[in-house]
Amino acid sequence: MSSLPRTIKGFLNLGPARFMRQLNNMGDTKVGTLVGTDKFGNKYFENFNESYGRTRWVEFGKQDSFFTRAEANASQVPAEWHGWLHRMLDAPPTTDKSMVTPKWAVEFTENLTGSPKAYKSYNTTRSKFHAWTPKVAHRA
Amino acid sequence: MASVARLLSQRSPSLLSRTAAAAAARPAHMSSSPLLARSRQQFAKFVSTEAAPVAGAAASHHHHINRDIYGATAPIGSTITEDVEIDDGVDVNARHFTVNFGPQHPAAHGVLRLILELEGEEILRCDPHVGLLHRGTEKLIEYKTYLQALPYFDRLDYCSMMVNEQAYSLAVEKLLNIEVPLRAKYIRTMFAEITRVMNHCMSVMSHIMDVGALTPFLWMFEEREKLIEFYERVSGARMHAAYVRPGGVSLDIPKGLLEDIHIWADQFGQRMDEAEELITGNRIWKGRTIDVGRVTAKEALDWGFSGVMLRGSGVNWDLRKVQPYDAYDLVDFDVPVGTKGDCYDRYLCRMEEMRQSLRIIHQCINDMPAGPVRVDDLKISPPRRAHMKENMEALIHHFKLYSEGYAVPAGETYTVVEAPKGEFGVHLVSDGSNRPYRCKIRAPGFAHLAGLDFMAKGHFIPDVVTMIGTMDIVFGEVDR
Amino acid sequence: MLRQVTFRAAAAVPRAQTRLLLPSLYTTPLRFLHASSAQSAQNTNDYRANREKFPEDDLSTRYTEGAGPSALDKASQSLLLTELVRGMWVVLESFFRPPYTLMYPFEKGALSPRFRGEHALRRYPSGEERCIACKLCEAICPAQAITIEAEPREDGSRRTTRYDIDMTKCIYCGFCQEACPVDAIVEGPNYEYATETHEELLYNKEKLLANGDKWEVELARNLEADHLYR
Repeated sequence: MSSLPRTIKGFLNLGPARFMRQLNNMGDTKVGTLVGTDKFGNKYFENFNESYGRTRWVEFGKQDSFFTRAEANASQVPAEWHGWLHRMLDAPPTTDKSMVTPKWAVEFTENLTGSPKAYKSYNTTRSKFHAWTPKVAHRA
Repeated sequence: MASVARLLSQRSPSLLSRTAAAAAARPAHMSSSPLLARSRQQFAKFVSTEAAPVAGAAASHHHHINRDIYGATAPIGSTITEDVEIDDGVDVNARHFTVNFGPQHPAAHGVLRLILELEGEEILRCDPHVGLLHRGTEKLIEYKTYLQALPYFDRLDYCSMMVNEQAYSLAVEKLLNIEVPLRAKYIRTMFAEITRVMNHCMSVMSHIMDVGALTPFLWMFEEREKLIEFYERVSGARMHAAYVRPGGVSLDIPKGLLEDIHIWADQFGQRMDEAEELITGNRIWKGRTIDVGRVTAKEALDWGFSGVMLRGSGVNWDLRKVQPYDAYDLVDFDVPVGTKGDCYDRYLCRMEEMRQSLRIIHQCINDMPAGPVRVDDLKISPPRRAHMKENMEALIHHFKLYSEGYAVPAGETYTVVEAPKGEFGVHLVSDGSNRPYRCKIRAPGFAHLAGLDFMAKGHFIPDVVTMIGTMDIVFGEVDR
Repeated sequence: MLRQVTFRAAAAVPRAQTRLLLPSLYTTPLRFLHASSAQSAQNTNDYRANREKFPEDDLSTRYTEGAGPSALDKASQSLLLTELVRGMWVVLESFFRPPYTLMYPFEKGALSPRFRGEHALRRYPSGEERCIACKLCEAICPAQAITIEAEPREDGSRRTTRYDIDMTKCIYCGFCQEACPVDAIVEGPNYEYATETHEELLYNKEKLLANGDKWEVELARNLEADHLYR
């Protein structure tokens, strides 16, 4: 819950840059302990004094600024942190050793819709129909 | 100026000739009754003194309407006026005003389309048009196995998902002649009551919102969100659960969920107190609901009403009491019954039903035994995954159940449950194969909507909104 | 029945005390300060319909002289807006409570391991794809959203050549993951896959396998968390 004392406290704890960014994004100032950072630069925070459901949050590596909107995106949270952020798991992946990434795992991508790299559906089988090339008999 | 001069020239016949002109201008059939003619004259006089002080006009006078207000076609400085004939008298042949209410009206709860015939603001006839959300569920079910037909029931009344599933599962169980384990019965009962609270949170509060109060709606939606989270934890889906299956429930309750439901149920009574403090005594709410949409007990029975629509009129009829299913004969609860059968009574009934649901939920949590949640019949309920992976027999059963499904003995049943909206019935006919021969769904909302015409007669337009709210219409089940 | 309860309770207030405005306000227990339903049941909506249908209303015992709160009581409650003030007080209380608003996407709602979201095809730890093209998921799918074609591979093992899911047909019932004997097709925890076009939601085998590779860390965790219940 945002209030004046909380906002002032947030300003003192966060510093002007993060303070403005948080107000711009979340509309609230939240101070918490940094639990970890993933390889995309997303920072994960935790503060159990927040109200229920708001104890864990993420500050995205890609930040919306005044000039560029919609850089940060809900689908940018990678699979390792997804469960922690959704309060499915207690331990974050930094301390949870049981979370093993397989060798064949691919790089996590955000939802790429609307970008040139968006997924396009294609056929994965050989075509069952073959084009017929007509042979024209020579007419006498 | 030219137009004013024209107006003056038209409006200045002598008094005598004016009356004569009025008589002449009237159609013959109107002046046939001397009484009517006299009243028309008086009315004309009244209109003329009020509307045209220049000179009293006749029953039909001219209105000058400037069709070219921006002067696009006329030369600068001139105004073009047009004479339009308007009959000011009361036309006995006038048709009533007909209004289309919905399907885009926000108070029309989905895709309801009403044709309202009005006299002034009073409703003479109210004709609901259904079918805009028709998806052919009943026909689709005929081409699905008994398990595949289950998710369709979530999507009928999409505000009370698990109760619909329960009705279908009970019907299939009756045809199969099986009895589900006690734990499954308790789980079903508990989630049916959670569903009832969820549904009433939605229906009562959106009813209140239609009438004009937003605040309690937001309070109760917070509670509804918690219930949706319980749905998600037990089934994996926030709304369309596919959790209650023929033969029990799909999975056991995860650890810790009962405790959380208990914590929720402990505080929910207070949330209801707050909402009731704001609404129940409120004079605006009472003014909008008391004596609106009154239904006598006889009318309610004649029109096939069920649920709160029936109980609000004073008929003590609750299927959970009359023919208990699942664990309802093992729990203790009361059935609220209204006296007057108006919207306010039905609101009070729904609020009390939520409190009774809390009682049932508490009892279910306390009395729930340990044990299996699916019937112990490999021909009906799929084996556990661990067995399926190790045991050839179980694997074969698994394959059979998920491809061909199970055959249900020939027969037919009409199984009903007390859904939050009323009597939700499934008439299932089996020809002994693995898919239903026919499945007729009896939706309570359909009968209620049919009664809207007689309920709304004589009321005003805003009361139609109140009545749609009190009937708790959801078009998923009405249109099926 | 409901109404009679409130009615009797209101009548229980001694009449002598309700003569004056102030004593009545002081002595009436707070919950009776509501304008009770009995007292305001004068037909506020006195339309033709009700008068024709319920002629007994005018003779009803609810309007018996001397029963219920006195006229002064009614007037004072009506003029002092008691029930509105009480209601607004509750609103004021809730105004100072912390809101239950999650600032999505920075904070997210709770999910359980059972959540049924975007589909994924999983692999064995060796990297071999699990799906053996038994087509149980295709058979059970109520919406017929799954299309499978299979051929023997060069090494002789049976694998799918086509595994298409039309995500716009899918109803997310979870039957496919229940049916799968090798835990190949699963509904993962991801629900942030909305797209701008319909075509992007016609998933083929490569897309589903890529989903599996992306989410395997969490998929394995969730299956393990729930394996005792399945």
